[in-house]
Amino acid sequence: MTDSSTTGAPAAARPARSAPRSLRIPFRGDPLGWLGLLLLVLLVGVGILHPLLPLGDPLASVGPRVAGPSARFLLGTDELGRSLLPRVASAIGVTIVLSAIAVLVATVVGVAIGCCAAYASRRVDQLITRVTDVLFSFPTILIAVLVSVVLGPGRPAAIVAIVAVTLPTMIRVARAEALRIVELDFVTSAEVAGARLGWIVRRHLLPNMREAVIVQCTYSISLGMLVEGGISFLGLGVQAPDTSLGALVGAGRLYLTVAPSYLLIPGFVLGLAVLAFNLVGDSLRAQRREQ
Amino acid sequence: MAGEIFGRARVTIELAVLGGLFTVVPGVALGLLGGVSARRRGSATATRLVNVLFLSLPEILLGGLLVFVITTYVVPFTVGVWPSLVDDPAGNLAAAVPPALVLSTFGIGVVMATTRRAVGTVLDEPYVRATEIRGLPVLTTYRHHLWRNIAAPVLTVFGIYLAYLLGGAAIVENLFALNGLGSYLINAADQRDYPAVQGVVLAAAAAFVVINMLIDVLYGVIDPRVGRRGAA
Amino acid sequence: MAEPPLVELDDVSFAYSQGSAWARVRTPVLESFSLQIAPGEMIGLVGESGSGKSTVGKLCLGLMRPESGQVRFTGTPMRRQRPGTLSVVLQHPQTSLNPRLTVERSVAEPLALARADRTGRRERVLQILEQVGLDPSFAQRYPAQLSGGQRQRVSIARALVTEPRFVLFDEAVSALDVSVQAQIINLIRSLQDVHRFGAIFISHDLRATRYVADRIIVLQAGAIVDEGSAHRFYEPAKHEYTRKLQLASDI
Repeated sequence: MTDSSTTGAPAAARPARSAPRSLRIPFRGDPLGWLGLLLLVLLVGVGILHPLLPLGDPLASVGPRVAGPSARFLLGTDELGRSLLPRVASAIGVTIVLSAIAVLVATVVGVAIGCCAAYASRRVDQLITRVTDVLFSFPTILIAVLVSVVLGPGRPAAIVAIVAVTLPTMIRVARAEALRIVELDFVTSAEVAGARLGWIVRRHLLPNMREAVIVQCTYSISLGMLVEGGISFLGLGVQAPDTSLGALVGAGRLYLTVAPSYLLIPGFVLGLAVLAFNLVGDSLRAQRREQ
Repeated sequence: MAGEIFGRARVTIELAVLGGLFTVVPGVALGLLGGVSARRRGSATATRLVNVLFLSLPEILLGGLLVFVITTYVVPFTVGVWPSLVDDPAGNLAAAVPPALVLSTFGIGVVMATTRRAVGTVLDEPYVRATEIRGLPVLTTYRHHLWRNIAAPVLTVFGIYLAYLLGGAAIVENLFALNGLGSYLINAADQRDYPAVQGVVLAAAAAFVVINMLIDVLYGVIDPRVGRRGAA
Repeated sequence: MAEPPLVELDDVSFAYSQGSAWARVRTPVLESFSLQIAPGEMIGLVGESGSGKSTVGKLCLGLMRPESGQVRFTGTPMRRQRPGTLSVVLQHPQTSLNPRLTVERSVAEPLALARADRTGRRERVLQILEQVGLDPSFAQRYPAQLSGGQRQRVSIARALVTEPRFVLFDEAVSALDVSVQAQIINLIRSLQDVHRFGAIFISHDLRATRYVADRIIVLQAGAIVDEGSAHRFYEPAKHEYTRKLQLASDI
């Protein structure tokens, strides 16, 4: 007990072993992650920047009605003779943005409820968990139909439906993370030092649950796009003249024998967009598990 | 209305049962395969890609593609007719298999992911690793252990998915022009026929409750401890 | 009138209860337990796991409420104290610091909570870091870049940065290597000589506690079985349980 040589003197400075986790390059050494990111940047870029690209006017009747791909109309034309190339491009943007907005809402609400559940009394926590479970196992399309019956078809119905579908999982993830972090020693130290709920959430819970929530967000956005595709396909979501990938597939369905590309191309693009978000999410999750 | 719902329920229930079968068998098989081969980096990447593809394939794309192929080329499947299962089993299956396949893709992805994770958990246990190091065949040694660990989570996911199929076959029924509960619901919603919407929702909720009860019973079969705790 | 004790547990009982409202299983931890800590006094609390040491610590910090009896801080019933009055150093170096915050931000946290003057904070942080043996270059590091002993030094700096009246060290050295343990114990002892905070040092290791504490209390199954000045515990103890602990600590 006499060794105090290092007590007063500065401990030997270690070289910085590694940057904090959040600063590391994502998907290092994972081709799937890079593929997903590439697809994602491409599709989001096209979806948002399409008015600036030389694709043509999505609303102008310029060609024959319902034709397959040709040199002049790369993706063909629709029932009003509009070029499908600019229509698909703008539909990508609508589908991704609708889903992203809905997931943003679901994330904010889900994280708030999850954090509250972690700090609430056991009875409130159980109530939240039970309601979440029921909502979680309720059929997706049924929720979407109910929402659009109540709100009437349109963008808000699509957004509310996606929120309803993605919220339960987000609450689960946030609650599990919050419960894990609340038990950690640094939270206890902060409580003893006088920190209140708001401080702990801002300073300790949110930064440490960020990664898990981001992974869940990517999955939720891809699920949201599938939901949007489904309900717009059924005519309950986005309405003309507005369009989305699901609405295009729904319109193309009527001309399947004349021009199958009208259905298959927007459907394929929807699949690519969903794949992009899923690949990124899967890669992030695989990396989290390795640590 | 009750008669209408009951008549249409037969179509939806058959789709759900068939879809459930198409979900669970390939899902568990692929999950086992993927979980066991996850140790090698290359095959792990391939497994993840396959799994993500199943989760990313939109029903409206696969369904549209199948309808196009069936109506355009000569294949042993049909669209737009639904012969009775009793009178014409072959004709019935020719109509039911394609939509059931479409219904199962997302579920295969979910079941596969669940199975992979369960297999990974078992293989990572210290005593299983010890067996592996000694060179004993892991899969046959821990066959029962493996099944038990996979069964519970897969059952949970499957129950949720079956309920989803019963209430959520709307897209597929619409694509394949089938008169099931899903298309009835959409028509009712379209025409703002609220009593009909309520009727379908009620039927789906009832199915949901029944399925959950069945699942709870099955849990007891898989793991007797659950049953005893439930009885206490 | 004599100065009131800094922290006082007066006839306190505590039990954990589990299960539903119908079938509650009650596990008593403390029964009619009393303890007084004078200002500037360091109490060592030893005993095996499950003896109720940590419960005593949590009661003293107001993290839990007793079932019956009273906890008093400077003579008045325990309630929310002014931020910076109480602090704690816990066992696990891996989780004692928020991995997202630099050492400087972690150590400055209690100052921020106590609404200390913003301009003086940085200086104060560097000053306390120096006192725990860490040079200023550590301020910008993240916990992942520190060793277990260094993290525990940071935890101690964070606990003392507001000059608290009472500090709980709950198994603060138990998870460290023996040589590092010695350094940290020396550090706690020397800091206590300077700052004169009241403290409880919880440990299952009688030898370490003997070195750091003024007075030692031996706890078994929620009751005090032996108590006395730390010097006394250098000699073979009369009490059987204490002797067992001494043997376990290699005396």
